[in-house]
Amino acid sequence: MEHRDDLALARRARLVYESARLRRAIVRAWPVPLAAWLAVRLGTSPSHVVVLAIPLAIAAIVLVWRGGVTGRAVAPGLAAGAAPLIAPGLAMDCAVACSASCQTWCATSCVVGGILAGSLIGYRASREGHGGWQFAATAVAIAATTGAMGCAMAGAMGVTGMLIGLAAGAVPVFALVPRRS
Amino acid sequence: MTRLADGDRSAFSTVFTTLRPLLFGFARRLMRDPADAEDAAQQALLAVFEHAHRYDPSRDVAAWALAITAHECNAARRKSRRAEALDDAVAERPAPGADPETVAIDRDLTAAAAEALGSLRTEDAAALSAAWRGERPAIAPAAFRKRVQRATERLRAAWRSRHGTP
Repeated sequence: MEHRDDLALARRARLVYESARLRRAIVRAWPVPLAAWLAVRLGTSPSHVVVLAIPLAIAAIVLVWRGGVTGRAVAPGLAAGAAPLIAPGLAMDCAVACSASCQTWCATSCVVGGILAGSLIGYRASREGHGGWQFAATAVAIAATTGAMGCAMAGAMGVTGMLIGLAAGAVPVFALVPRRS
Repeated sequence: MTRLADGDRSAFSTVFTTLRPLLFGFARRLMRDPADAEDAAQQALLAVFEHAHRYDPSRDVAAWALAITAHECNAARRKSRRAEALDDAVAERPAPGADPETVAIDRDLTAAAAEALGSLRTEDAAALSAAWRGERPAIAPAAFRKRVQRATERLRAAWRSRHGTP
């Protein structure tokens, strides 16, 4: 009888644990709607933003809920993704002021934003110790999706430039910064 | 616990089997009634798992879990004291020397009030009991007034559903 009570209590405890983690994961995904709103405000088409924001929100919630190295990578990924998210919008204003072509400015800003985001992720991943590559890969994927919401306004060239920038920033920093054991 | 806080589910059963006897034993030492102790320990164990993701690895697991248990035991004791106070209030008898009709009316009214009160949630009953006794609430006065107001509305509804007019 006591054993059965223990099992029931363990099941309740597990349910409480999982639901608390899920609630926390949903709260932790708050930057996604903010990023989506910002991307639309900066000029990306709402349909592009929705296509990127929904899977990003789901991925962020699932990863934080599961936890571990990949769960820890979500917040740095979202934070790093802010650079390529807002850079093209700011560059667009500059392009108008300088009378230069939007495509050139936007694509360049995406590459620069990607490099900045990649460097931040590479540095943070090197602090992670074991599982650093897993952390870096998850954070890069999250940052890429976040950044793509902003770089989509520069078309495929902007998104590709940002991805190249992310890789160019993350890999060398991650490889060169001494690891924390 | 650090692993569980980080989302490692394989640590769940280890934490559960380690903490369960510890918390139940501690609650039994803090509370007189074994049944109340068991309830409080269960609540504490569930609270530990609910807050597991917030666990700070720099803290001692046992101290953290026992602090939660002590808090649950205190809450259970407060609840139990309020319930006892409410029972005492309901059991109060009319003044000696009152005529039999008044005594009978008082008895019927008391029984009906006890029945309506018994249908309320513990928090509502405790709030009404505290208000009737003029006790100083542990919460903000405005929040307490709101709680008493809600409890009174629920008591009226419970009375109406049993006896028609309030």
